[in-house]
Amino acid sequence: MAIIYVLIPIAILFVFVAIGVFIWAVKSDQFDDLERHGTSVLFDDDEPKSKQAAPPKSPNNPPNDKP
Amino acid sequence: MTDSRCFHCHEAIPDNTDLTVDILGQPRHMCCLGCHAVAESIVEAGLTDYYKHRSDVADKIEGELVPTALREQFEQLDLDVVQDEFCTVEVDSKEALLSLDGVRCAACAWLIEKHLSRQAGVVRATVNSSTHRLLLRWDSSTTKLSALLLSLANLGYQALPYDQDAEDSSFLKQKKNYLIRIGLSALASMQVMMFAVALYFGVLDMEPHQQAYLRWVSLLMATPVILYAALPFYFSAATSIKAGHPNMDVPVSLALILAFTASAYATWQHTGEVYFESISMFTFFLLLGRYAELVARHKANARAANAVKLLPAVVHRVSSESVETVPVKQLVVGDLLLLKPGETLAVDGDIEKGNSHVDLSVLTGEHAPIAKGPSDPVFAGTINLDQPLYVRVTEIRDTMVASIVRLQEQALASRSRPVVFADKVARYFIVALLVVAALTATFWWHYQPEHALWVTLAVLVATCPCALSLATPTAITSGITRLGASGVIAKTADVLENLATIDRVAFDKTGTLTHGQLQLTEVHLFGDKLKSIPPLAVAAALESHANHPLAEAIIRKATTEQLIWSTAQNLQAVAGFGITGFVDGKQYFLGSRSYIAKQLNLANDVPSHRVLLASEHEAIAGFDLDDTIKNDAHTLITKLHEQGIQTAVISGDQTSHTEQLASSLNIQVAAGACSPKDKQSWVAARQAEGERVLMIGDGINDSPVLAQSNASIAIATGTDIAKRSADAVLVGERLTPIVTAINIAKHTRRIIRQNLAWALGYNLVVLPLAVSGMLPPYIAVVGMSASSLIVVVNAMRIERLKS
Repeated sequence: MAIIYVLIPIAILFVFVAIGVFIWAVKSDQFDDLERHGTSVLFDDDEPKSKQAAPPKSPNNPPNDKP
Repeated sequence: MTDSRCFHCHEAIPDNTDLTVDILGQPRHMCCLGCHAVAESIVEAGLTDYYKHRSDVADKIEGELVPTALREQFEQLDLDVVQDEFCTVEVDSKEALLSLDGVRCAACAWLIEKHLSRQAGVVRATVNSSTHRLLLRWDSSTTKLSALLLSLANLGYQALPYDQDAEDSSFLKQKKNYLIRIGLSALASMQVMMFAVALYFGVLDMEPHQQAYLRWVSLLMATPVILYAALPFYFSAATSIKAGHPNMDVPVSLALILAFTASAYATWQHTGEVYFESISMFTFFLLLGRYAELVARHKANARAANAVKLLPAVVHRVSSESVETVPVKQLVVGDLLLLKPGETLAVDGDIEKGNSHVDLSVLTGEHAPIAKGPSDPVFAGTINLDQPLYVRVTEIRDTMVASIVRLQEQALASRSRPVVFADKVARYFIVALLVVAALTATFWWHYQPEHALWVTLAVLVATCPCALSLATPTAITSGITRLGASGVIAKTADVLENLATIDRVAFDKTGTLTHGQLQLTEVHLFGDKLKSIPPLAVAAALESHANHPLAEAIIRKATTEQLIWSTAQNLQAVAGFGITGFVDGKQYFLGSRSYIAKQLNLANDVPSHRVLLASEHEAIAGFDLDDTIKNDAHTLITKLHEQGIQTAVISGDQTSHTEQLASSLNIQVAAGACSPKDKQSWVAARQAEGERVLMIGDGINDSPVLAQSNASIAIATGTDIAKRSADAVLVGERLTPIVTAINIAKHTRRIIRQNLAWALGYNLVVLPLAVSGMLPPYIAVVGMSASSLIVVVNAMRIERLKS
């Protein structure tokens, strides 16, 4: 069981690193708007979008982004 | 599947409306021109992803997308003197924090950011979807703020600078602080729990030096929790003791500090028990509860602050050479101002030149136009309706409106706050706790002195009112969230406690029970002589340039009926009486009964209607106008009566009008012709009789009574001062959320009682075990954690309450 004298200090070191990272995340405003960024990955970037919007809107050829 | 509903706002589509927009490859039906215009501009900008990912429907767009008044406000925001008040300037760009109306979900935030970032001159746009605020940085040399705001308004979102209070900015700091404390105590508890499990279950075959080692590392992990994470409880306890009303944090702090000190001593001396895991877990649970409460309260506060718009207070000052636009701050008594039609006066003054109709709703709550002429006094808040007025400034600071606000502040200051039930419990609890702990210590001291410290400690830990102190805040947090979901934004936590015990609901009339604007209710035709053009179209043509509530009502009706009217020629108006002009080559007269009688030389046979339309020879049509009652007002009153709550209407309007409205809605008591002071004393008189009154109002004249009542709700479309003095703000057109709010408040009170009963019951059950020295530390932890969780889960039931 002597191993606990090595492993526990390492575990504690990890915890302190985790706390440090968490504090950094809070201080850099990453918890300000939790509703928002959960869904932001769903939205396409506007690059391909604006290409689709650019050609004249032919009524029979809507952008192929049906749900 | 939603074919009969508007694709944009999901409202029912009225008959004979045929508006469609191609969205996501299919034609979608729209309910009105407003929604149609918004949907089209979203599609044109290639932002249809909004419809794919939104989780809530958009607001219905009523009337014009960008009313002229709003456009003018936007333009005033471009003035440098005005921008200085809410913008921060950097080298070549300006930054402003704006509040947004109409944001419903994350998709709205995305839509706004994408749309703005494509506009020329926008450096950065960030939307916070929980507080509904927009941080906008733009290059002031390439674009104007008004242009950006206008383009947002075309998407259906209204952004305006708002009145940010100091509380708001300190909140962000506090929130981050709490998050760090929670993170620290969570990670530390996990570690300490691991060591604790090893200590409990490995204790038989563990060598003493290993046990001591595990205790030492537990002490190491628990120290930052007790020294940093738990600080808010110590401060709160100290403040409450200083104020002479000890709250729940006193026993919490006592248990935390004593348990930590004794455990550290046990580690040091290799005796007794250690409670490091209990300490860390308590702190974590308690912090979570506090944090949830803080966030819910702030969210409500932020929304309420958004409602109070910071509008530019600029006026047109007339000097010998020219008319210049200056901020109100630069005015002095004696200045001459030009008040254009449609503008609101910012100061008190006397009319120097000009005749016009004004809207005095700020003082009376009524929007009916009143004629004013030279040497008549006019007050701040007066809206000029039809002709330009020159006003000599008599008072800038101590205006009529300021005196109403003062009345409101006095009422607010003298209002007694109910003692929070949980604090009452806390007071008895602390005394009982200290007595029991003292008795236990004395008994064990005589019986087995070596166990006295540890048994007393077990009593303190077991009775640490963790669940008890979570019982109320978690329930109130859920209650506030549930209120927000039903359309009532709470500004104070007290509102839930107060709403639950209401005996009477008092309403303002105009703007609260009614729409607050005149509507054309009926058109009477005399004979059928006008087949070619409908009379309404003729009336609209004559009134198309007028700036008057009656004219607006006629034009609004003509627009909704989708009539087309030609331009009238040779218009001649007699202010306050009527107007004449040529439409399609024929002369028509439109005006009051006396005006028509005089113009046509008719004696007595003029039909009696509010507004008449006549040709050169005879009266053609009569228009009835009225301020109509909101659709669900009747349902609301019926539901309130069903619950045994009495009703009343207190209005600044004439007594006869008020009584008529009361009888048509079955409202039990009506009081008319009330000044702001009368309204306040009416409620005060009821309160003296022992009634608890909920006031619903919208005007500046309602603000003193809103502050006087036991609970108050302001209508979101009302004035800022009313919204500031009320406990809660009702969003949207519907009134029935008021009943829902009362139900939620009652439900919340029930849940609080259940929670307190459970938490107290648990403490009472474990107390004998602890006193008799039969409670091992891990049972104390498990029991306490389970009890806290049950309380939290019970509180969350409020959010699922059906309306």
